[in-house]
Amino acid sequence: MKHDNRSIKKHLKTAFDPPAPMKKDAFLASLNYPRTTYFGFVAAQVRYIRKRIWCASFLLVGLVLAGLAYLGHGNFIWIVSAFLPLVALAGIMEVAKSLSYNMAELEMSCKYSLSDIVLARLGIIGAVNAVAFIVITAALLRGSGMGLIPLIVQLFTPYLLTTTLSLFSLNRFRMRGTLYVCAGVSCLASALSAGIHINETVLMGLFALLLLGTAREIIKLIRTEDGIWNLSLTA
Amino acid sequence: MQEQYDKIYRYCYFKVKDSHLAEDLTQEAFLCFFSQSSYISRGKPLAYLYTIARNLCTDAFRKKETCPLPEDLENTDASTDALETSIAVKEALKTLPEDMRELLLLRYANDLSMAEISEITGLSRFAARRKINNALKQLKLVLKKEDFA
Repeated sequence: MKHDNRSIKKHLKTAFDPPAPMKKDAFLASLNYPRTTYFGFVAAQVRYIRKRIWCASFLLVGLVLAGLAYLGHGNFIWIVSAFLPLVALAGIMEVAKSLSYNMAELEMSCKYSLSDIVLARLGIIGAVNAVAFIVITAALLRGSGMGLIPLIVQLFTPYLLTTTLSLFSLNRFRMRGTLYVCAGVSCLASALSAGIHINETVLMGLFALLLLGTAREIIKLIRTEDGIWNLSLTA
Repeated sequence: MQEQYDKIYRYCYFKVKDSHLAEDLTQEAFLCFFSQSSYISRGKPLAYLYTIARNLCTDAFRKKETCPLPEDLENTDASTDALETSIAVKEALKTLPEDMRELLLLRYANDLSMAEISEITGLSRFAARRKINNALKQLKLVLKKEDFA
């Protein structure tokens, strides 16, 4: 018989199995425990996100609209594109704060796992950014003469470069110093965006690659967090 | 919640070896846990739930002499080798001290992290890890001995 650690651990999973419980369903159906909805949970997280994140998004939208009114389209798309990595940085800083400080204060006072919290915050910041980006894209689309997809690719490639590289660093190095790496990455992406003009096809490929990279790193970020240690009281 | 119910029930059954009593204690543990909101808001609620279950089991054990029920072996469709190993592991577990078995249950059957185990048992993380590794080693030795017996 095979008695390596793996096989023993596998059998230990079932070695303690008791007879099936008889009154479980009836008990759980009648159990009155403090439930909260997912919406309530997400709404509670909004309060913990720093005001500067909201300010950065509003400022960006305001500046773009003002810029369009006074400067016209011209090279404006590249200027906006160069600013977007800084918006990404603001969001990444928020997630990095949660991870590098281990959210001790919040973990002690709430009933959710860190992965739930990080996911909710990423979702909130992403949703706010998405609204800001839709406004910006719509404003730039009018009168720029560019198609929607080339405009999106041109605008958001530096943003995605920042998110991919910053999340990559966060996933590998959980230190406070990682914040400086993220800041460096966003400045680099911003400078590259302003300084280098890449062929449209190459840019399209890069955009797709970075989109996949960001998705991969977000999944990794959520999965590598500790498993749910709590009772998952959300209903 | 369902998953936690199963885990606490498994833990109680391990402690009292009586399925009816184990289920009653599981439900009592949940009721006690939710009747005191301070448990929920204090962080690490899972550890508190296990602590309540453990205390209830200890009280029940003191009150009543239990006679262990024969264990069900329902793995009829499993391969013979896996079934043999499964029986051998269950038998080998009986030779280990109670505290080692408890640690193995918490770690491998209930999938708790070292931090949670140390909260529940009062051991440091290092001590819990060392004890679990020792228990695995001992289990392996017993299984090897059984092979040659």
